[in-house]
Amino acid sequence: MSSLRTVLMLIAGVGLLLSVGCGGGSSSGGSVVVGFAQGGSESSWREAETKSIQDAAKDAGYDLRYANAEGRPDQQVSQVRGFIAQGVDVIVVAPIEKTGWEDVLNEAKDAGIPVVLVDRGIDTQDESLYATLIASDFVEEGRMAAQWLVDNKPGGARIVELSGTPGADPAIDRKKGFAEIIDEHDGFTIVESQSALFEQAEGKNVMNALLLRADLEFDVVYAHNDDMALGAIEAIKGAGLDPGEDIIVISIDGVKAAFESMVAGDLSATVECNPLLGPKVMEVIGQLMDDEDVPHRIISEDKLYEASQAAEALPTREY
Amino acid sequence: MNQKGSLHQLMTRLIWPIAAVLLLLLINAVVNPGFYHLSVTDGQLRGPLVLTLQLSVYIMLPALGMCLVIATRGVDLSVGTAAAIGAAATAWACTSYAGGAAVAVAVPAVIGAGLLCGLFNGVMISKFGIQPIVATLAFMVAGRGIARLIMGNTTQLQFEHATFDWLGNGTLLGLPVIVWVSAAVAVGVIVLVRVSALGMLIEATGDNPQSARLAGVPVARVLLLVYALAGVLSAVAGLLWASNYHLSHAVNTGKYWELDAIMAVVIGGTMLTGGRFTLLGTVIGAVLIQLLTQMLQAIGVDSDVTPLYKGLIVLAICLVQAPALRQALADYLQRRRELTA
Repeated sequence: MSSLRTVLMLIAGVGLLLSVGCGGGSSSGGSVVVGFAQGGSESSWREAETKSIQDAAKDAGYDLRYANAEGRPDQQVSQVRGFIAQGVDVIVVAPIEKTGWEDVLNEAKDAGIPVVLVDRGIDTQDESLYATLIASDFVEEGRMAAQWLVDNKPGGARIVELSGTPGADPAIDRKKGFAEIIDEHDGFTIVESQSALFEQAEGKNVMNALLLRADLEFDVVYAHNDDMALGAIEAIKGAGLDPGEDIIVISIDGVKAAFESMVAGDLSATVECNPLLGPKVMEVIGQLMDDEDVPHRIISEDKLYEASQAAEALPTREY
Repeated sequence: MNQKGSLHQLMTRLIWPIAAVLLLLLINAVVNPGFYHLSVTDGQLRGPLVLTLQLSVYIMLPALGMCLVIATRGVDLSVGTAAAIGAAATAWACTSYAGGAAVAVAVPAVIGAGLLCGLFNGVMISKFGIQPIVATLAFMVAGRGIARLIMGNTTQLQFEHATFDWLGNGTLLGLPVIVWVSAAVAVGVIVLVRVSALGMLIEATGDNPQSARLAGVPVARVLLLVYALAGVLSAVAGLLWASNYHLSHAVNTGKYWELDAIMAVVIGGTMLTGGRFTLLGTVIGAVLIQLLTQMLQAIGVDSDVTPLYKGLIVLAICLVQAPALRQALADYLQRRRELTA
């Protein structure tokens, strides 16, 4: 029994040391301290976002405290709480889920710490809980993907949708925007929709299972992100089919690997969702620190790339 | 105990997992006959059953190690992390070296890394007396950072390598290479444990460590060995996973594998209280879990609901094996017989 207590105390002690270690920087000059609560590192897109924010903070001379909840919403809330306790100057959050934010954001508000949301929104009645949301319009991304399909496959399509993490903002909105356009056009139906958690390996697993279903006929795969699409493409090839010919694959995000896949003739189109939000975030933080007004919603512009444009765009892709 | 008795015991332990597999197959036959569809593409047998076997490998290999660990009254929460480290070593080798050199580097690197993971846990537990759940929890968390470092401080590393592609996606005699390799590993482990005295020593350790020590069982070495085996088996599973998907991921590779592995062990009829164990049951348990996952996916149940059914199956199998429930059932039948008599 006593050995268990010793171990637990040791763990608590180490944890305390670590948190003190993190807090030690607050006395360093008068530089702005930014707490960044990242949601995970499940995809290459998110990696690029993390790096962009870290690099931009360094360039702006801000002291960035970084926490990553690795897909656990409860963990993320406590990490934000941790930032409030440390008394950081501003908190940047990339929310994993839309819900469950009101309590902790009220605490931030009471402590006078402005909150900047990046890449995903939250559900709240009280708009004053955060200073601004810097993100793409995911519904619009879904619409763009659907519009490309409608334009390029006028004969109609039977579509399989690989959706993202259930409950995640982009998964909900990309589904909604896509369905909106598809529903307006005869001959286009979503025959099956399954979650592959935004992960490449899951994309392959789910697509393998779907390809083996005798009751399911489809000629288009719409994936909520590139990673799942790339996994699906592997499965399609493994089944002896030709992605781009037998089954058209479209996705969203526009990561470098997606462009490479388009050049190889596998992926047909991707909607770029720019993860390089760092410079914009730091600009907004600068304005907030100077007590300037910032718009409550800042939309980053997205663009659709199709296979024919991929080769030209590939060398300039940063992520 | 004589041979016949132990065989009888093995059968009573295996009967419920086997019954559960048969039940699932039967439900499939009624609800979704397409599940039994098999076709041949490029000399490769394809179908939901083949996919089930292939994906059950990632549960089975860590679960074999987990089974031995659990038999010593321990638990290893770090099997998923050891797999991530194995995958990371594979990806690192394939991005740093080409052709045969990559294989020559990757295989010893993966086995060595798995061994180190396991030995770390084993030393913490057997030499320093740290509880297995604490020691392996610490490594489960910390080890993912190691996987990251192996990959050059990135979260995801993609690679292409002909040999590993064959290993992960190729076919041998109609079945995925991955299935053959894993079956060979499983047979190897079962033979190692059952032909040598190791199995007996493990059971003795799990039954009662104190009396085992007094009886001359090298308990510390047994513990080191089972955790080392769990580490190596998990790292090898990671290598196969990386070969299958052409990538290694510090967070996603091996995520929740420890839970599936524990579940496979429990479903397979090995109790968490240690002592007697069955590796064969664990293999069946692993297949059962994957069968359930594939079956639900094949009838269009969303993957986030799958854990619910997994949990229900575990509960059901544990309940039918629970002495209290069996006693109650026996009493009930007895009373009915008396009433009707």
